[in-house]
Amino acid sequence: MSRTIAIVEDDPLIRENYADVLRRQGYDVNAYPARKPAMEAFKQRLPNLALIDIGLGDEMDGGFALCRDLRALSPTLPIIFLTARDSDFDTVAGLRMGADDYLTKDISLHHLLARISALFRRSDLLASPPSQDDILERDQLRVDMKRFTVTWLEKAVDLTLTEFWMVHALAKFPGHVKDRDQLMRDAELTVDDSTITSHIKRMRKKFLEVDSAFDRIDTVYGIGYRWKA
Amino acid sequence: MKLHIPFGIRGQVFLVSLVLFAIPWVGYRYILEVENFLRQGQERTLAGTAQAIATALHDRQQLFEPISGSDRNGSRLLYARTLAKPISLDGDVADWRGQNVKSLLYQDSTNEQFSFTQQAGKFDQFLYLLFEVRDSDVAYIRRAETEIDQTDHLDITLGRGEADAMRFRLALARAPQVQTMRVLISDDASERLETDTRIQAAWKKAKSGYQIEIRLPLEILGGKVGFDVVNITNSAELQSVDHLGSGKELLSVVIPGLEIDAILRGTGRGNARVWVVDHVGRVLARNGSLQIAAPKSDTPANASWYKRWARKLHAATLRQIYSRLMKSPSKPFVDDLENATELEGKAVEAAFNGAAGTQWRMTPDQGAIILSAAQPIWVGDRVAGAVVAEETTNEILALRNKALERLFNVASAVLLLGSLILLLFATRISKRIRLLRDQAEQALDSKGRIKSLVEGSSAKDEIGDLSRSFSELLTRLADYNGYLEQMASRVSHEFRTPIAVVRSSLDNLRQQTLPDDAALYVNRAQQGIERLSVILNRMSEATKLEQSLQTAERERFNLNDVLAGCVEGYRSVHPNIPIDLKLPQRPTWMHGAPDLIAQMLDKLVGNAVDFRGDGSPIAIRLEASLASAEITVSNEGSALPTEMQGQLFDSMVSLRPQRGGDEAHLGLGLYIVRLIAEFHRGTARLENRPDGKGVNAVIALSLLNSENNPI
Repeated sequence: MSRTIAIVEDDPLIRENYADVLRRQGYDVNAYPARKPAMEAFKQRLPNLALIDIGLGDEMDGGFALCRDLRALSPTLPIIFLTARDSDFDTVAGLRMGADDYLTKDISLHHLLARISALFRRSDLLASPPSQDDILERDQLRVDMKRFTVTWLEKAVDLTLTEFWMVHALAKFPGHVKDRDQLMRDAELTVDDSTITSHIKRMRKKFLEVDSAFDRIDTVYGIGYRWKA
Repeated sequence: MKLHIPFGIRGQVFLVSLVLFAIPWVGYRYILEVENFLRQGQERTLAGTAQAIATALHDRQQLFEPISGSDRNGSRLLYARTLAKPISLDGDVADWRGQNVKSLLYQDSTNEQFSFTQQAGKFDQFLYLLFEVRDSDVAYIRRAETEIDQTDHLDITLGRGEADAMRFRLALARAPQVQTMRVLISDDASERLETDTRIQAAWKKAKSGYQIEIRLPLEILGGKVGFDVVNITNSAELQSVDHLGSGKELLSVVIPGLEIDAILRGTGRGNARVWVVDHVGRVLARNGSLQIAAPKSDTPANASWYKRWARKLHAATLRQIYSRLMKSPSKPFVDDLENATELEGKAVEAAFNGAAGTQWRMTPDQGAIILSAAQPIWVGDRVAGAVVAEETTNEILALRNKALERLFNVASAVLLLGSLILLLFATRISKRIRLLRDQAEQALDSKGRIKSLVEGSSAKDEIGDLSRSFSELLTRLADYNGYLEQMASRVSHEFRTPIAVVRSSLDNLRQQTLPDDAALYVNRAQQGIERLSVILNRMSEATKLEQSLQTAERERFNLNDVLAGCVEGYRSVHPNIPIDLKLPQRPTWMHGAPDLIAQMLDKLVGNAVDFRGDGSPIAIRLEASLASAEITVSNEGSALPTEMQGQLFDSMVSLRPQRGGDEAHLGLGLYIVRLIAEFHRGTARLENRPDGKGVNAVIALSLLNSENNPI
């Protein structure tokens, strides 16, 4: 059974381009130009993954509303924001709405496909038992490469896919300094320095929610970041 | 500003308020008019007074020309003028000279050896008589036993008629004594002498005889007088007695002053002085005085304290000024005519010519102005004399001064109050304008960016309008500036969608099987779109930084560590470039965002790397004091163009040559540096190195926390 991906995007050219690419990859693609027809279709039948733009036609934040409604329908459905907006504010807002990832539109299709397949993999494997090969353990840190989940002190840390990749990249070689470029490459992100910084800050906060004494992600000023062993 | 006005609105309004001085001036003119009118009235009134007195004196010839002739009853007259100066009773004629008294000569045609001249005058309450007797042989009482009949003597008869006549005999004693005796007629018609001192006399021997002065009190002068000079010539063989005098018939004594005085007293006027002069100007009589008593203080003793206080204040201030400016009419003045014996002048001349005349004159000490009005006195068709009435203008002057004082008091109050109100008003206006100016000046910073908006005033007037216009102007300007600053991020945002279209299209295309040469072009298009993408990211970097600064969290960190870490990174990135780092010994604690400091340093070092001369080092230095730290990033290379130094930290300003490299430079690097420095309450500046070989980027940062305490 092929997976269904819903694209909600008001620009017909991008919508069709993405739809074409995804179809070529063997996904079933349903494309919607606005929030209302998309929501009506979702109520009939949920897609396996939703790719949503924030600005939908006249609705400036239509994508946020759609994400919230969709999350209400299904708590596990992978949702990716794909948008032209790149401000911290929008990123944080999007992720808070329950999206699994937040991508800007200048991401290459190659990267986009990788994200999509990773998300599918994570949702597929959430149920199945973990195999030892796919587990990276550093002291109290457990990184499950299959499910894209991270636990600290046995407690799950709710990371986005981007953040997951960053944690993975840092924790793989503890003590080694990863510079921003390396992190960007590992997280398959094309964003600027300050976005990396805000990602790191968010990651730290998420770990701190689990363990208030967490201090493993270390800033090496001017160079990058490292996982303190 | 071409026109340099040395004073502000307050000064100008003050100048304009000088117009208020027109009020006292107009009032002053008006009062002068009134004064002039009053003077004319006074002139007429005084002329009227003179006329009335003159009328009473018309055709009374004996008052004016009694020197010879007789009165209406036919009796002969003795005319005694009022003397100007007192006579000292010493027999000396000196004090008669200059008194302008006519002398009458009595002589006997039969005896040329014996004659006399007689003069008479009145002074005070006495009648003075002077006899200058020509006598070759003066016989006087040499010894006590000398018989009076054997000495030269003078008989004076006083009285209205024969009945009540009193006779006195004045015999020469040892000079200057004169024995004065009353001659009483006994029942048997024999003469009896009785010493009587009511008549005083003195005699003196002269060259051709002797002279005798006699003083008679007016009260014993009955109205008529007769005199008989008896000359005794004692020779060995015979004694001869010569009589010379008024004879049997008594002379009517006329003292014109006395009679006219009586008339004048009847017409007396308080402040006027009236003179009557004869036809050549000699004063016959005078009544009244021009000097008036000083007015008493006009403050009642029982006035309330504040009134007294106000008057005291007034006396101490304004009254002083007024008394300097205006002649006080209450002061005594020097009157040159006080004791005059003759009058002259325009008015008197006119009267002598038969016409009424008036004249204004100033007293010699400038103390008062005296108005004279003269009227002729007619005797028949001749001018026998004149009445001159005089009055000072002091009454009018006092009136005028009082009016002027009131005017100036009121005007001073109005001026003071008016000026004060105008000053307050101008102060308020200028304060508002200055406030507006300050707001306008503070609205823009030194770089021309809008810092704060002018708050529109709610006042309804023009200044309020101006303030509101300013406010609106700045709001629009701020909107426009905001639009420009947002431009980069808007553009990048708007471009992102079409770029996504192109990129996704290219990605789609690559997944098709393409001819080799087509794949080449697809690759090139891909590279182009990548570069465009980087440019867009850079464009939005500054905006994103501004946004993140608003939410940035501050922490306490050691600036030395950040610099050390960064430099280590730069050394690894640029292994061929020598990078010097100088840090202070002690840790430099500051409160801020270390990530941002690192980002700032990235930009500065990036610039230094790009602009440095080939092979030359980059020097980074941190100097810290208690309150501030200074980071200097120094590189060798070409100097800064002076005209752009101020602008380099603004958005979209770049010194880099326009070249089609893969790095996109939008001139946002130093703008980001400035934003971060300002976030840390610091400043950023670029300057040429003192040695002229390169450029220093200097970032000054505050080491204090937000409460201005050291960290």
